[in-house]
Amino acid sequence: MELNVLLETVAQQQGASVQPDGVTRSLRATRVGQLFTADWKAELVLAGMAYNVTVGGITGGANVALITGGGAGATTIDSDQPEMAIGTPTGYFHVPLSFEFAGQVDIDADVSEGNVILFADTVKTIPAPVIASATLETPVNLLGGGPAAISYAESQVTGANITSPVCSMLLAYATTQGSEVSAAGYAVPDLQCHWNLPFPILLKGPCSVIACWGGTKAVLGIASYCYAEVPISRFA
Amino acid sequence: MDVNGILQAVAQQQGANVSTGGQLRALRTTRVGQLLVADWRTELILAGAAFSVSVGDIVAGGDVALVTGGGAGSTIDSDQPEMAVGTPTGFYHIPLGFDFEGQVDIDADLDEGNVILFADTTQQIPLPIIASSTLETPANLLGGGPAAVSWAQSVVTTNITAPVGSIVLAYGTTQGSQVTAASYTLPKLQRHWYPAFPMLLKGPCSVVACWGGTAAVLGMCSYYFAEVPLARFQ
Repeated sequence: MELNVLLETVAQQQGASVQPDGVTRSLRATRVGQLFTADWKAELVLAGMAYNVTVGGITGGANVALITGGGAGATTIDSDQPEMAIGTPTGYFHVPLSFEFAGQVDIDADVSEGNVILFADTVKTIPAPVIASATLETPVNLLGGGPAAISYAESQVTGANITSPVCSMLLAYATTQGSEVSAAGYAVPDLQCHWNLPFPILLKGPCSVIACWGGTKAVLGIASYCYAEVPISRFA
Repeated sequence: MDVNGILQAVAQQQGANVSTGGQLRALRTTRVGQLLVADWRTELILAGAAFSVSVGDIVAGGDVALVTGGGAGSTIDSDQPEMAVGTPTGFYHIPLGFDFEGQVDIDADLDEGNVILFADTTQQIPLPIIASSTLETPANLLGGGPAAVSWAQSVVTTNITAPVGSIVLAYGTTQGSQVTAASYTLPKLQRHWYPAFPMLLKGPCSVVACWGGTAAVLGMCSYYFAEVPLARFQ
């Protein structure tokens, strides 16, 4: 016996019906029959598992406020004193979603340079912030009203070193360097990093993700990092 | 017999139930009926079949550590690549992504810098010779997943068997155009490549990255790939 099954769903382009979790419901389609889907990033965000950490920003009623990179009062990157660090404990995967950075650096000499790097340490979580020498950052849930993060975050580490982070996996890197032919010149350096990975990397806790920026001259910038944290049992 | 089947799934936006392999389970939707999906890259990663190789580093407690390209000189030498990953017979190698950013001192007319990622579909690169290259251990993108079957090396300074450019996967270049000698430039040499579709390179095969130019090119790269048994797709 041949059984012909016509697959149907509900055209519901506008005015989507909302069902609570646990209820069987029809899938939705546009008025011309396209199925609505949500990809892996949207899934994590809508599950309340995704967060943002912003370093630098804009002052209320005033100008942008950039963060000067480089550790220990120097301008060069010092990974012991990063500009942003997030630690995720045992029992969770840390899933990077995106990293946005733009910075300023005065490249006015031959082979002067500026750098920004985002990397993962898959060996250990960073220690809890030492507030006297770092700024505590509270990850913001990308599903407004969602639960607080299990991971902890800090920025502008300047005093006490964190335990030397290991670059187990290079996630993103951007650089600019001047090439001087003669001293008479004018340049507009471009140091920015916009990283939106199209696939998930599941970093198994304890682990950390760290951002540093710096150069031969001071690098001042703003960064915005989005990630998700999910229990190990969800995928492994 | 004609039957009309209505596509249904369980609204389960939060608190997804986790099934074991082989178990029948309902599809999931958001509370407003969007089917939750995983694309081909996510499928490979969640199967524990995808890996990352990083070339370049950040010194513990220090600055970024770039890798100088060009093998024995500053110009690219494909016998002495900056990164090479070899996959054996019995597996497909599937490139997933490549990120490179580098520095080059472009201070004369027609100076140039290049970066190239290519596939050799005829051979697997030889095992790393540790005295003349750096052994790289591919990191599984599913933390705790199995080790890679492919092997990888970087900063090669003894020739590997001349790799063949069967397929150019990604290429980036910059070149100076000097109008007058009095000038100052900020070269940008970068390549960020994420193919929208899978290429199934049949082992034995290799994927090789090189960078270099008329002056030294210093850079870092991340390369992502999957390796799957041939039987999975053929």
